[in-house]
Amino acid sequence: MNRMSLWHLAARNVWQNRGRYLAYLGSAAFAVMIYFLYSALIYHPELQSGYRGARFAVEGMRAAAVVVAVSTFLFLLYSNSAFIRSRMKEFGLLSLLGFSRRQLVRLILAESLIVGTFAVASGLGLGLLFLKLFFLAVSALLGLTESEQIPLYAGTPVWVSTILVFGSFFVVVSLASLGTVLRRNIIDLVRAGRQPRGSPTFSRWLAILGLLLVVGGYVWASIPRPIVVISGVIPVTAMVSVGTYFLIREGSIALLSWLHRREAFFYRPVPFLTVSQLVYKLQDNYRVLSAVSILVAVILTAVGTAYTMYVMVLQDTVDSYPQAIQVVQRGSVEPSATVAQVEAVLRKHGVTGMHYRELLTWTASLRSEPPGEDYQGQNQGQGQGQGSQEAGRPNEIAITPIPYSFYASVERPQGERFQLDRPGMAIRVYPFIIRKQYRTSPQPVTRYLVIPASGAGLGQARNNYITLEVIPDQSGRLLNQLPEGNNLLVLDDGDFASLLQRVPAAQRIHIAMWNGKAWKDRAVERAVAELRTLFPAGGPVQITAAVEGYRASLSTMGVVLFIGVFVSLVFFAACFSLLYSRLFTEIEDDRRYLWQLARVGVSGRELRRLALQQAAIIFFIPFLAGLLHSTFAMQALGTLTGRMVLQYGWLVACGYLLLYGLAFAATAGFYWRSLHTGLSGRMGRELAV
Amino acid sequence: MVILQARGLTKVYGGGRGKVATRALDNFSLEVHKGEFVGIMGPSGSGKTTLLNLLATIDRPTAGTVHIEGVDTATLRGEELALFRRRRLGFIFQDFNLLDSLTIGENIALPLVLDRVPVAKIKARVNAITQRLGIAGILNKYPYEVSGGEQQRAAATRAIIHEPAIILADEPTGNLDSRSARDLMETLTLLNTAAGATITMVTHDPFAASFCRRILFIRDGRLYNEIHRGESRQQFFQQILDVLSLIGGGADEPHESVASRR
Repeated sequence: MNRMSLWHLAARNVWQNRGRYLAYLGSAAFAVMIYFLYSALIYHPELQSGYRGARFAVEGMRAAAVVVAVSTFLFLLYSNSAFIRSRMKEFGLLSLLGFSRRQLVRLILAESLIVGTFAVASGLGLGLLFLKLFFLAVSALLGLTESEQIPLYAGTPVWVSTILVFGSFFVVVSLASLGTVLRRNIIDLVRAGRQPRGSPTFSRWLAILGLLLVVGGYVWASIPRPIVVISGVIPVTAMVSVGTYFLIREGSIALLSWLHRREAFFYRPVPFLTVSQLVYKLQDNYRVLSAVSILVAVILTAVGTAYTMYVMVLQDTVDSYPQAIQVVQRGSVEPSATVAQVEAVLRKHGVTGMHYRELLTWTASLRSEPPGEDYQGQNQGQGQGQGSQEAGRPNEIAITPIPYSFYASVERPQGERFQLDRPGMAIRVYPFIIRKQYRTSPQPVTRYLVIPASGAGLGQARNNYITLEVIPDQSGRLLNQLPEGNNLLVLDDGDFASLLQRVPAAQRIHIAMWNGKAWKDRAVERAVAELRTLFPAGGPVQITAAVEGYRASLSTMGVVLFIGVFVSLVFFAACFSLLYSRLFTEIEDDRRYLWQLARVGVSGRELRRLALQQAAIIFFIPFLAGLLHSTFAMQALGTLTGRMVLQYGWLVACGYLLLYGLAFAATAGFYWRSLHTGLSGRMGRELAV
Repeated sequence: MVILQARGLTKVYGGGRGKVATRALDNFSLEVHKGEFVGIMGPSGSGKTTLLNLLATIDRPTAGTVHIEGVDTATLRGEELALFRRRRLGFIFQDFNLLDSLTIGENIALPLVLDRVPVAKIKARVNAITQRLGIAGILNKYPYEVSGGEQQRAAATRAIIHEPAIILADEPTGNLDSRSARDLMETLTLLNTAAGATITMVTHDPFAASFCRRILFIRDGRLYNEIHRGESRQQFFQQILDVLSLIGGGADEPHESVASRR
């Protein structure tokens, strides 16, 4: 056989197997495209010097590109070996017809080369097609305006890296499959298609091992202690993955043979055919089922985690900016002028509906010990016996007093509000939120507030203090970040007023606050940007705005979510391709099976139900297993973050189920159509369905 | 009692735009009575398989009608037709048509399972009939674990298990060696005589055909001849060979080797 006709034969083989190759090619091309797009960002010359927030995105993409490449390699290796296995008989026949080993090797290599070239080329083509869109999306996520947009880039390193990585993958994969074929002799090859699969035997030990691994992993992930969860990430993932493999194999053998034995159940039309067919195909099914379960678990967990992070960081940002705009200024300048300036800017940008309030206060000092002669010695590390309850912490903190009326007027979503029901009581508001179960007990502790006096700073005027019973309040901020004294001390209105009287005007702090529903509007953002130019950082006036923090978090977390979703799309493509080839690799056998049933009088509608039911089992059993895995993973994430995150996991799972359902509907529809066409052909007329 | 009545069956293939129409069956009529064992023979391309497909309701005639137990099969559609086929007809195919995923016993039980017969009844029926036919020992084996002859006997058992109006057999011995073919034909004879099964068999194997009580010969889609069996099967066999040699066009089995099987 000359070279020309060898290529011809290889090309024709690929074409004839196109149904099988389709999903495989598609997902390989998709992975190539993703890798190409990520590389375009990673090697982008202008991003190396650092756009706003771009470094982070680039690092994320780099990690994602590695994940995509490695998982694609494993996927290619697996699918290709499945292909080769299904074509053993064909290769055997060629050997029988006088093909030499050498020619067989050439043929297989040529086929792989055609498929690989096609996959890489179409992936690159798709990548080029979506390059513009991808850059637009990344620019939008980084919050870049139109003029700042990242310019398009697809330089030589991007092409070289993509072609090199995936080209070598295809070479390695085809060499591996070559090995599989060459290890067998002709008769094995010819027989490969006919060998009875036999009913796999149940191994109690493997079942127990699988169960122990999975349950152990679940238990480990469920221990509500962050340190345990962190130490378990890798071992639990490994345990559950291996456990799933054993458990799905042994579990399906056990379940199916149990169903087989329950004769009252088994001897009914649908179970009779479905159960027996599942037993018959178990050997082929369980590998795909366990691989898909693990992939689904990875997808759900990855997207669930990215989404949880997204929601959490945004929530944290909102929590740390209770005021839409806050302007802080020390007393020396007349505050009303500043306030008027800010109001003017807000009006100019059309910001309406903002509620204004102000607060005059000072930075005070709260101590765990009464200020006295012994105090300085303690501070220098002597006389540890008398240390405060908060061992190791400085026993004096800067604190900003506020009147109770202000405290009572601020709404906090997670807030419990304490009362000042006795004279001499105060509330300390911590600048963060602690979940209810972890809060320190609201028992008052004795603290000493240093009374301000002219010229006094922290640590001075030590004989001038009042004793307070202080209740801790850990349900979140009332004010945005302050220059100092971010803990607040809530005092009785009367006490507050009389203390404020004693603070010299120069030490008073004026806090102006604007709040309203429209806090994250574009108009507010523009107004804040202008205020920044009016009151530059480092000046006497400090501006904080919720919208800024929110936008910053949004773009960072948007990139995280984007990367997460893209990587899991690659996993999804792999997942889909595995399921697709599971259905289509043996479609000839399935067609024969349905034809046999049709001949003894099973109606078209029943045949359809049988075929679709099998497809549904293959699709949705691993989905449920993956969902279960990811539920425990999300539980562990909840432990780590100290929040309830399961609902985010469920939300992601619902979204994914939709995508998965669509994939199923399309695949099952196509599968039945291919079966049906073949059947109708054999029946000599249209099968009534 | 007439079980099967075919009248004026005609089947034309092709004939679409510019294609040459082939008349596979031409105004063919046939009547099968209860308890009959009828053979249909003819050279390749004579239309015998077309005839069987029409009788089996797998294919529709261009003209003519098929009545089975008085039911005009042309009036049945889709689901009804499938139900009718699985309740009132029994099939034996050249390729056995046993499902690889079911044991022999389950394969035999299939028609009853499809008809939602209670499991106890199914088991009793399968046991009774397989005892009688001597294949009870292989019930728990899978098709690939038993010989072709045993597979075909199992298929024959499956064809009778639901007590159909008629069994249609399409070249049942086509894939069997002579020993297995004899076993199968004896099984069919047993079903016919002892269980009163009505059988119509298409074959081009004169040896297999010699077990029938009556044989119709088709040529070019028309009835060519009809012979009845007397007392002696050997004699009947000779008679078949004579008709076949008259038909010509090759009864496509080498007669010499077949003859030696008597």
